[in-house]
Amino acid sequence: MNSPRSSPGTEMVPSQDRDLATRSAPLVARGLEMANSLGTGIERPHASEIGKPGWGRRVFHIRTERVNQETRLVTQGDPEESYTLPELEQHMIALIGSGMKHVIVDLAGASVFDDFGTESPILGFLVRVMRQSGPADGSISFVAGDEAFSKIFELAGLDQVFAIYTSRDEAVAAVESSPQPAQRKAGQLAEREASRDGTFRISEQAIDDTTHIFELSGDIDLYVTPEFKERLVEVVESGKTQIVVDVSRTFTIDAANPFGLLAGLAKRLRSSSGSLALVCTDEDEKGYRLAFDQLVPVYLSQDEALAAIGVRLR
Amino acid sequence: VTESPGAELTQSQGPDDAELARAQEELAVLEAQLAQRELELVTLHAELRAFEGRYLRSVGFVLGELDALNAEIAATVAAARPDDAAAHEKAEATRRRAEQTAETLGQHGGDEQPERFSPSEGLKKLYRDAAKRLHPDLSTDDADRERRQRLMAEVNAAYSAGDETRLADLLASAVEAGEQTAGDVRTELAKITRQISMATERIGLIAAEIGALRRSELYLLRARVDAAEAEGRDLLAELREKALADLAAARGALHRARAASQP
Repeated sequence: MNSPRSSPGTEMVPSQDRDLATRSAPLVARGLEMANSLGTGIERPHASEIGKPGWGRRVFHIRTERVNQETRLVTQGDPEESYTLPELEQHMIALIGSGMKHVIVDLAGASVFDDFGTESPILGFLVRVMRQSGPADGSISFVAGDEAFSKIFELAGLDQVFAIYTSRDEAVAAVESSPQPAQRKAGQLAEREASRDGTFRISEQAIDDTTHIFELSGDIDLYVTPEFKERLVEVVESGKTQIVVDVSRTFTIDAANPFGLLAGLAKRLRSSSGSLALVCTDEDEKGYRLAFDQLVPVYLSQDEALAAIGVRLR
Repeated sequence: VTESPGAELTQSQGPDDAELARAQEELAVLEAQLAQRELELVTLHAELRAFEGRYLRSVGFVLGELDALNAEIAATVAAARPDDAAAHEKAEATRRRAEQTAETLGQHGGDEQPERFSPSEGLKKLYRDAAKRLHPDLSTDDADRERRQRLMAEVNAAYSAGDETRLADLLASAVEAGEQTAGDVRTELAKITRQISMATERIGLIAAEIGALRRSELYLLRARVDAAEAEGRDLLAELREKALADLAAARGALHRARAASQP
């Protein structure tokens, strides 16, 4: 077993960087207040200019609407709320940081590409938002203003990363058609509680010749890993290349062994053009994503996982 | 054939070897990720520290003078009104604030920080290489961990100071120390599994720490300053001007308070 240890973080940080975020906080907060009192300093268009070509140059006028508990729609709004591109970026990062899982940005009518051209910093902006929001923070989708917008996304390969819709209704419907988080969580937790005797169990489902689901329940620790590993090896050696492991009914997981096993399996499957997907509760999702990073994709239901690897359940 | 103990032993070595190879491969990926994440964290620290220095030098010290003047004004007013409890409370509060500000500024007074932290690609590479070799979460035992923790602190300090020579020296001594002798397959597997677990945990902690820094006021203010810069504005200079204007107003107020308190 691992010996108890403290995080090395603090000891490794240069002394002048310790408490960096807090030591000058009161003085920095005053700077922020002063910055607010100074205003943005951005020229706001006169009412008569609104709607004329180029009126939106340099400034986005934004309104943030609530779609549901974890979704916000950012859309063109009142001239009273003005953002430059960097400010819009910070606004979106703050939205995601405040716990929003889904952010839809409606750029229809924002004439982004009129303002910035095809060498637009909007691409850099999108990549930064994506990178800073992190892989665990849900989705960012866009409502395209026009065809040029979609094309630029495609050329930059961003259509692989962001969902792009042609209308706001379509984008909202896509987010709302995913299972409601509260219902999903309640259902999962109820199932998990119902099976709470801690005994480790494996149940399996062969979906087709190449796809196999493992459902694990109870406590996973060092002692049960060999049992699971043995079954995994048998299944993989029988020719299955798409494996879904559902851990949404497990309680405690020893950090090292199953993670190492699954990561190793993911690489093995990848080398034979297969894949491994993990299903967990949304309570545990962030932890698993952090643990596996991009090595093993994490989903909240078996259906989602199967859809992602191209298999559909009846 | 599989009944004899010898055959069983031979069979059990195969899967262990394969698992060891997989674990080694996984660890290599994690080492690279860990080094990259540590680099991101230490870079953010250094960038924010440089920005903090810029802000305090440009605006903070003016606010310090302003707080001291405000404390003096409130003390003058309170002295002239011995029975005015509110005036005395205000004098006490402004005095505490001025002391607090002076204390914060005092911690930074001697800092000779660069205006911006802009690490070269070479410096970043040296850091990643050193982190892969010296990270405490890739240690094999407690003594090794303590040694790595000390060295990694030096690596972080050298990187933050932009000291490429020191970083290269640290990396060279780490390379010289060389690899440890591998034990048997099972021991090696247990060691790697532990390293994987620790590295994974640390990667999660770094993500949380970066998230906390990004939610800090310091980060938000820097974002505002950067955003203004993209618009061709110098927000720090504007803030300094505003603080200097407040300071001039406070000097006038002190003069008036002193005049009013004269018998």
